[in-house]
Amino acid sequence: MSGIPSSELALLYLRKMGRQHVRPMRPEDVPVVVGIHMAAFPGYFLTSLGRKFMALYYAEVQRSSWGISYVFERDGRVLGFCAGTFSPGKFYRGLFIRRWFLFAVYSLRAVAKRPLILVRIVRSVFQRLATPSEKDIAALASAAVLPEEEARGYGLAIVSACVDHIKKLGGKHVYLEVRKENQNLIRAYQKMGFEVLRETHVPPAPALVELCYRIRNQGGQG
Amino acid sequence: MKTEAFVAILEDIVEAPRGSLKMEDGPKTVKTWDSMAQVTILATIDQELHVELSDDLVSKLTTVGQIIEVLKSQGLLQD
Repeated sequence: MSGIPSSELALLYLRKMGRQHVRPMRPEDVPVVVGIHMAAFPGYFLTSLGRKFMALYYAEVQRSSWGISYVFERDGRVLGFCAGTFSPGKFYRGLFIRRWFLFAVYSLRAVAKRPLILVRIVRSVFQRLATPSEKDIAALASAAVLPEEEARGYGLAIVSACVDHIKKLGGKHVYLEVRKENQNLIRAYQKMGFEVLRETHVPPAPALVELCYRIRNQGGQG
Repeated sequence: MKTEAFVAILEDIVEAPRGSLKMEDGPKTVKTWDSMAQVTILATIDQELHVELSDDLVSKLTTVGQIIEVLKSQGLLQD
């Protein structure tokens, strides 16, 4: 054996995977990203708001200077993505002011089908607007790979690339949320240096675990 | 490296009891064989056996048997 702890080997390998396969999201990736989101998160709140709603959201993240958006590509095919933003509170306020009408129109169908979803939409808007606005805080809102490509580390490679991107741009804290039931993923993020902050559970949404990666210095281990 | 020794490394990575992994085992049958375990397995192959597997090959390595077969075919594991 080389003597390098297996956890460090894995992190080095994730970076290598990232260099080979992870690249910034492009505008033309958005429909594929929406497809991956729908396949990976069937029945989830954002998925239930529909393809157009999600396409608008991911397009805004992709084009925003505060946006953080990367995809995993193998053999010319996008297999996974991660999307988030710096200063999430500011980003969502700006997004809401500029695009509220389109978001409202695109969510009408979901509201017509399930009127109670309106409560979750309103609550989600207020939750997003209340997120921190500091410019050195980043939140990764969603990360997913195609179900048939799961358990290969692609999602972790994309998140690792996002964290490196945030470090380079002077970010100090990276937040993300994982469903509490997904203990393997929570453990994987902990091995990457994320710390569990708190659990939240607001029914009917599933219980979530919030994790944070603290960047102590440029090039540090977090 | 002996196949038996390699399987023991796999068992350590996926936190499975010694001698418990079967050839057909993989992420679908072993609960602790998650994304990070898969990455650790690939990283270990890369580091310890000094072989860089192609993307195409890596994407097909999802069971103990498949991993062993590929490594044997490259002369990296012996019975």
